[in-house]
Amino acid sequence: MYLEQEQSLENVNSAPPMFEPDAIPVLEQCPQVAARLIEYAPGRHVALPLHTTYALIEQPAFVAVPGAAHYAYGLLTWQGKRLPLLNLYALVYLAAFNGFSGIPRYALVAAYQNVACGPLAFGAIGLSSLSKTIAIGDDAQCELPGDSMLWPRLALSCFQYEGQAVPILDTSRVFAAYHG
Amino acid sequence: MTEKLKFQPGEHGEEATQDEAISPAAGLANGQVAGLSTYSGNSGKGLPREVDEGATQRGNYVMLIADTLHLVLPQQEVGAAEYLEGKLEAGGESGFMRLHGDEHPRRYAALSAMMTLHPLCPADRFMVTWLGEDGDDLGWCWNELQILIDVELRPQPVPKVLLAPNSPVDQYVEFDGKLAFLCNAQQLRTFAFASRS
Repeated sequence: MYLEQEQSLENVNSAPPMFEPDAIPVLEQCPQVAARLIEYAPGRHVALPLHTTYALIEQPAFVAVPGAAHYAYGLLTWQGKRLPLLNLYALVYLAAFNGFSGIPRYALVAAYQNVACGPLAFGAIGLSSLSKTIAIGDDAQCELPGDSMLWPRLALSCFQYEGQAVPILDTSRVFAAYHG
Repeated sequence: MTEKLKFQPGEHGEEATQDEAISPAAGLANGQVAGLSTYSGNSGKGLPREVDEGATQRGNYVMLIADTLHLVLPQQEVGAAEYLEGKLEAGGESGFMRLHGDEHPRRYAALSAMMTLHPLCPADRFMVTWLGEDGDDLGWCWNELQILIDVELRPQPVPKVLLAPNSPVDQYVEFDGKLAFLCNAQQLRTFAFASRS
């Protein structure tokens, strides 16, 4: 079962609307952008750039890979492709799977690139709840959490959201290589 | 702006809607706002996709099935298959078993779906094969075994992010709607033996 994102990349990447100079509003707040907020473990969140997220699959079926990385659920089938399905909590905290992370209820499919301007590849993150879309601004920027040495390798930036530091993941850093 | 997420047509027909703040396109395009990155040059249609078409290889193989694990080995590495002629019991060495009442010094092993050794043989393992080197007395127990004669396989790489340094498989094939991992006898033995407690 898929929850497909109806919004196309064309919309996301389209040029900003043009304004006449005297029509530009005076902004009192920092510009806001949309991000996909996901809860990868109870009470723990990360965000993904909205345009990198493609689909949300309910009750994802996957095939376990023998001897795979400790954070790997396995290979997920999506649109005729086999995607890596990861347990982000196990990845970030070098933790073995626990009861929470046995079988994810959802899988969020995200795009990434192995090289800049290269072709798109796809990977997926296991989730226990639906993602939500939020607006964030530069004024919410904060330091990365200090609870994992992997955050600087995985995240582009970080922001405060409801009192919590939420790293913004770079999907290429997450999916392109093994995290030992 | 409202972003609509909906289930893929033809599946369940359910629908979920989430509110989304308007995203300044410039912020996403240049990747400067709150560190968001973007994929330059991509439009919604005609996206370049990672080329994952592997080269085909033709030959004779054997598919060995243990629970949900499907392994494809070159046929020359798999010995003759037999039916298991009795009940297995734990042998002297961890992970190995012996046939109950059998005085022959043969040992047996059974893989889990994760390619580790089962301490005891699951009840539905009826097929036994010998792998690799001549003279190896270790019989491997399987649910099912399929001989694949002159088949064309199109191996695909297992994504790098999934591969640990000691991963015994790094390629898979789609065969009869099943995903099977390409492997050889040495990789299988090395990984399985390393799993012994």
